[in-house]
Amino acid sequence: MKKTVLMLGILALLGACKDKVRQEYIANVPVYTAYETFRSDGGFEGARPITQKGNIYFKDDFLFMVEPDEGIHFIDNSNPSSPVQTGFLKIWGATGMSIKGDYLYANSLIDLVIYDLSTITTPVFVDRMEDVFPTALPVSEKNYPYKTIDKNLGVVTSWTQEKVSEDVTNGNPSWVNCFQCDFETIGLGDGGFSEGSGSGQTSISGSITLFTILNDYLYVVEEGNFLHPINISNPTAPVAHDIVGLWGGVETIFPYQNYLFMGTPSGILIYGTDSPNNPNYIASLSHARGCDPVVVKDDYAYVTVRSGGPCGGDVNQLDVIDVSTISNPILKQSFDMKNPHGLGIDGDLLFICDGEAGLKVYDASNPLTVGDHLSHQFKNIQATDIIPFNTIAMVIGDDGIYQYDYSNPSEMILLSKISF
Amino acid sequence: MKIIIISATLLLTTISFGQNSVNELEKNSPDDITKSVVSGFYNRVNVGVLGGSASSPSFNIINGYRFNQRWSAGFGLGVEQFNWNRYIPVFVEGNYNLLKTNTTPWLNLMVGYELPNQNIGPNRGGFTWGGKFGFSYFIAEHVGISTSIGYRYANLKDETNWWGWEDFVTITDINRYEFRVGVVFK
Repeated sequence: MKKTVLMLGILALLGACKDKVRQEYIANVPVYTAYETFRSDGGFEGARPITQKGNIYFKDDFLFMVEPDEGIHFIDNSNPSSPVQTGFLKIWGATGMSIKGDYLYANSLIDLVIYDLSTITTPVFVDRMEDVFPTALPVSEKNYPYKTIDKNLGVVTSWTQEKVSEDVTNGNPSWVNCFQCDFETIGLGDGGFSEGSGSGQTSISGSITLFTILNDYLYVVEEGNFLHPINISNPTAPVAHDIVGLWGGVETIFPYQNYLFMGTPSGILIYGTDSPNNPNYIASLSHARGCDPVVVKDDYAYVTVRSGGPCGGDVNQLDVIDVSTISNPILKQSFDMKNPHGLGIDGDLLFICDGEAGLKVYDASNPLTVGDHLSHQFKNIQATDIIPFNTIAMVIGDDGIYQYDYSNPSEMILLSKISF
Repeated sequence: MKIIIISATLLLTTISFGQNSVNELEKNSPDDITKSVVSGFYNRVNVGVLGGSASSPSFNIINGYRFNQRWSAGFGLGVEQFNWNRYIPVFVEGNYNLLKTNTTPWLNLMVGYELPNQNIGPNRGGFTWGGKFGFSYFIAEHVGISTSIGYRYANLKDETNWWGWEDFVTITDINRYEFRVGVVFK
């Protein structure tokens, strides 16, 4: 009897032997703001110092710089040699903006806000489209996982980094990577609005953007896989249409003629806008993995492919793609680069922000040999993106906004620098 | 189910074997007891299973020294596998013989480190310890067989980062019972 009891006791103890798995990590933990508080915030204030690099935009002698998550700096650039900051438009969660006519459109995390710039020194709030970008999240430390978000608690307006230790049950931890869940981990991110035409009706931006205006539509790429077409033909009462599904993790968007060119880590996508409220896939072209802003001019697309960062890859080059037959883009040439970021083209000049190699200017009169015709190089600037317009190159560097006069491309002159 | 049956069989074997050994030893004369080795080197080769919510094979070789009829200590190396990862346990052990004979029940404690099989990559291995109750039965002057049951813990760290995140560590607390059979040389 004793033996049996002993054996049963031992067996019971043995049965209690279970492995335990836990995960320890630093997580981005959401900080919530009540919807009312979030939507009552904002307004135009006096000028304040720029503390964080963001996208720049240009329209009617005014330069605009988005300070990620904070708002938009207004800079009077009528004299590029002496730009003057005139004010700051506070927009919670802004990462991009665009102007068409007298109206400024900017994202405010999940919302789209509209301001009247008829009097540019005193912008007037017009309207707010609520919950247009339901999965948008604030800029964050992207290299950490994210705790699950509860929308009932409010809008996620920032993140804190906390060390988390949690038991893992059946291999399902509480952090999210969100390939298929409601909340993506990367918000509207580094995107901005862009328009390639510089028509005078719309603002111009650099090449690293996720928003663009084409004709009467504002197109916004959200989370790399959703395209929002928003009709702004009535600028004070935009209409959001159904989201168009994309793929490949779109990082940049650029309008050309009636097409949308989108860069992904593995290639470019081309969509048509014959039905502007429902853009349709036309063609794609694969390239080596990397971040790849794109600009297009005269039936040639210029794509910089950059390694590192969130895009991975190990290739750094400039690709020149023939898009004369839009349904059949053909890679014509590739040129080695150091670590190219944004790029811009004006006339026969192609500007490339080539990382540590600085700002490079190429003669693009013959697109197929553009990489062999370096006409100027500024090595003392870590350039990220550029707007070349009307002989003035507005460049985002790591420590400020630089402006160059390129009326004589062989002797570009630094006009000014706004430090941050 | 198989593991439970095997475990129960090994448990029965160990306990019965131990009980029989003790009974037999109790019948031995004082002369037999004095045959016990007082000191000297020993080597033990073990195979076993670490069971519980999962089961893992285990093999080790221990070289040690017997200080007297009760106490001995050794250094061991082995191979084990937990959750698709192979480890090399490096450990020291201490033994206490319950009887002053060659054939004896004994208690054992071990502490060491589970070295990952590959010294590159995110697997960091981790601390391990365990305790056992066993029997040794000598079938020849220098050769014996042993069997044991016990408990084994290991704290294994893996920095595998599936999503490219920094500072992400998966820690597995291994809680297992262990059964072993082996051959002892002295």
